[in-house]
Amino acid sequence: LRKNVEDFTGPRERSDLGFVTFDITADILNEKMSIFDWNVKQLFLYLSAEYSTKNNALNQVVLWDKIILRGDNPRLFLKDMKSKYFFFDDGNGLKGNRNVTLTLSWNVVPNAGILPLVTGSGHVSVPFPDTYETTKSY
Amino acid sequence: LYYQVLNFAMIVSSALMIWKGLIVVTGSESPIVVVLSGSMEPAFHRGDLLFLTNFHDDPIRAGEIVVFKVEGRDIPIVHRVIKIHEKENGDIKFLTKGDNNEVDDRGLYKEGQNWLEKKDVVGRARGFLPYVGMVTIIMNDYPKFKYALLAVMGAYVLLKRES
Repeated sequence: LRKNVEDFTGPRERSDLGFVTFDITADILNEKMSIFDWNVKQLFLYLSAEYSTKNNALNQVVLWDKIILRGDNPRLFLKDMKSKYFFFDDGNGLKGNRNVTLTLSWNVVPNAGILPLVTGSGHVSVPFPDTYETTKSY
Repeated sequence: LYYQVLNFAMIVSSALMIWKGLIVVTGSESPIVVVLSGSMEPAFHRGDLLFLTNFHDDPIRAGEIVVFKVEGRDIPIVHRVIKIHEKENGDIKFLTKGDNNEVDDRGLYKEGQNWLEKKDVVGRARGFLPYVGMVTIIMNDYPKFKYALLAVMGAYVLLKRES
């Protein structure tokens, strides 16, 4: 799983709003075993950003999600995706924040049984710039 | 007859003990809930049964499926956590959204409320069984069915013979 991003920020009222674009290449099958075994109904994939700010020791914001149903194409080639949800911080913690980590995780939904939540290994760090963009067409 | 009343009482109190035991073991006031709406489709449908835990030290993290109640309302809502902001001392506020909904749950919260807190959480979804909860929904929508079922169960227990 690989992702790479570019970004810029803008203030909204009093909270920082971050904009992130990303690519995702994912291959859910590996040679011997697919994550879609007999008891898997769907996968709920989501990209979340995790970071610390002065106001809050831990922040996690889901930027994007996708549902993959059993039988859907298991390979994802997403390029230049924009975040699906607004990336608001609770305050102004995004400005100059060098340590925002993007991680891909997924929820396995079985036909019946336990609901595991798995975090992908590997993550990408996205440093946010020190200045705001005042106007940007998005 | 005395014996049959005792028998009935034993059954009822055992069921109660199992239920209360489950509440203690999972830490949730309502460890088994029925999904009432289609807002988490296609993962969960109306009538599915969810098993919850609510351990105090379990952190709430983005992506988890939680069941919560809005202050003042009795209806449990099953949605996914999409944003969390947690302070160093563990105070946390979070936002939820149904997978099948276009917008987040702010419209469902209390007037003026923008975030949920730990105290609003009934539990975290750990496992599920499809369709099984339909019985509860039918009993709620058609009370006659509920009374008929209770009458049949009562009659069965009182009338059965121990050999």
